[in-house]
Amino acid sequence: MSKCIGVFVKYIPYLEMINEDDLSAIEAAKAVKELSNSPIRAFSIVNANDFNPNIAREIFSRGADEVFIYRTPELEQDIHTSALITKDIVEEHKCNIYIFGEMSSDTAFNCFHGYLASMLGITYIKNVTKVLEVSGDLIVAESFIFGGTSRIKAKFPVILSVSKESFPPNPVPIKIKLEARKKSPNIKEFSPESMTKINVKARLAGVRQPSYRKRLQKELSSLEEIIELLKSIGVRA
Amino acid sequence: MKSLVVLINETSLDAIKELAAVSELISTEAYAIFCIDVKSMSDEGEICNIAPSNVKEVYVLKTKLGKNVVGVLNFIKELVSSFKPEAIIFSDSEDAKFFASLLAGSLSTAIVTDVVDVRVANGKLILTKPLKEESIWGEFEVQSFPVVISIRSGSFGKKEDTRAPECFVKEIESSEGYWMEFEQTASEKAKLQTSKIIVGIGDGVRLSGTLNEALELSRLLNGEFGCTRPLVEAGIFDRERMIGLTGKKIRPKIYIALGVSGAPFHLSGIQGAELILTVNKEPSAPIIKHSDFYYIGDLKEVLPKLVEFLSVKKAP
Repeated sequence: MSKCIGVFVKYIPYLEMINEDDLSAIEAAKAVKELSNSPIRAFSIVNANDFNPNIAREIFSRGADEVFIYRTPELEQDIHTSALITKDIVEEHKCNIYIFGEMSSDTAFNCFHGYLASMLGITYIKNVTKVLEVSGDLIVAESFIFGGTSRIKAKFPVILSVSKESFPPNPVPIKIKLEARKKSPNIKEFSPESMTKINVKARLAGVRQPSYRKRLQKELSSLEEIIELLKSIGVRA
Repeated sequence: MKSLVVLINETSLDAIKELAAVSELISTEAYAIFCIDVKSMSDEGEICNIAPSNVKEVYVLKTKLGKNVVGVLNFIKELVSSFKPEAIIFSDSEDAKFFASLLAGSLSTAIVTDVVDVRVANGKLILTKPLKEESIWGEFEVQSFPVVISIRSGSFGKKEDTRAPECFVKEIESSEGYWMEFEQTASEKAKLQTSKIIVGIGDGVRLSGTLNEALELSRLLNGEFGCTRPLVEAGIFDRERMIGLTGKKIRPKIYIALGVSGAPFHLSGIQGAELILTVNKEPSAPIIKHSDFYYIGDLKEVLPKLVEFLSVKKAP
């Protein structure tokens, strides 16, 4: 295990920006760094066709000490595929803490981190609202889970997911942005050969327009109608 | 095909009816597991007495979830190994997703979350879920089984015909710790998942300065109040009040949305509401299309009048 804090950062090519939840992950990493003095190592997995040099500058300016960009061929939007690639990176760097934004994977909606941790056989702490202590090979965190706030102590290595409201992204001063332009990322390629070992478990076969449950959409024209409606469905003060 | 439906800390009959309806789309036979935190469970009677008719057997695990993560996972895995279900279906609560993700990862199997539609086409199981901030829905073709699914509440019907299932109750005192220590320091006060009347507080309430009136309305209606994500981010309410994709998914009889714009994040949490009543001054707010009834008006005028009306009614 290395004394480092790994953060996964997703670049969203169609919005040309970094996922905001992942910016929160960097903020959480900074909080852990203050307690542990470990460097922040940021990883971004990008489709080779979507590579944008500004990604690394933005990540450096947010507070990462090192940035690794992993270029991959076009990937299936399958959690298992993403987890296998992420697993390779985790095993290469062996950081003792990995941090993800709550909604860092578009297809997983807060399920990717647990999947990855379980696949790797390491501990996962979900919805971390505060990092209380980092010492030796232990972390103590506050988490919102199982219907309340809990204090959880876990041994390294550990994966944390954090939310935007607990670690809001901070604006970056221009001076720091300019300094970040001088730093270079490590760019690595995932070869198409290494991708052949991946068996996709759920393949995106098509897309369609959202069609939500139909609602009445009836306009009420007076306050009295609101009150009548409440009465009609048995709402009693 | 067989399916296993898993409910974590949820005992409502409506929740299992919806999961059973989904399982009926996939399989002919279903088994159900309820994992319940002992502090929130006084009697397993109803769970054991009534279940949707396609649910053959019900297993109730009573335990302290935070202290027995490994025990709960092992219990589910034992049933997966003995029934060999093709689909393992979870609800979309955050606790359910926690166990769904750990289970799928340990089985190294497929997982599709927030599923809004299920169908079988040409022998293939197709699961539909929102993508790209809900701007499109993706259709995922399952390539390997078992598949772990979490469904979005309110997206499916309910299996109404019921019968008495075979029921097995197990209690676990303690098991191998997942974390070194787990201590709950504060319990949730909001009862959003069981409340029949919920007042939803959006940014419009904050901006119009009617927060007190909105809270008073919820109190007068003997309801609960929840909020949208910006109010949690602004530090006005705790996360336990947040309704939406990574917050609470609600199933009230009526949801009264006050000053709620209708961001996709929030809409995903209210699909289970029987009725949605919206009050908003903006006629183009996206939530209007997701409402059964709506009133276009200024909260500064509407809320004091509603509160006054209900206060008079409540006065002895």
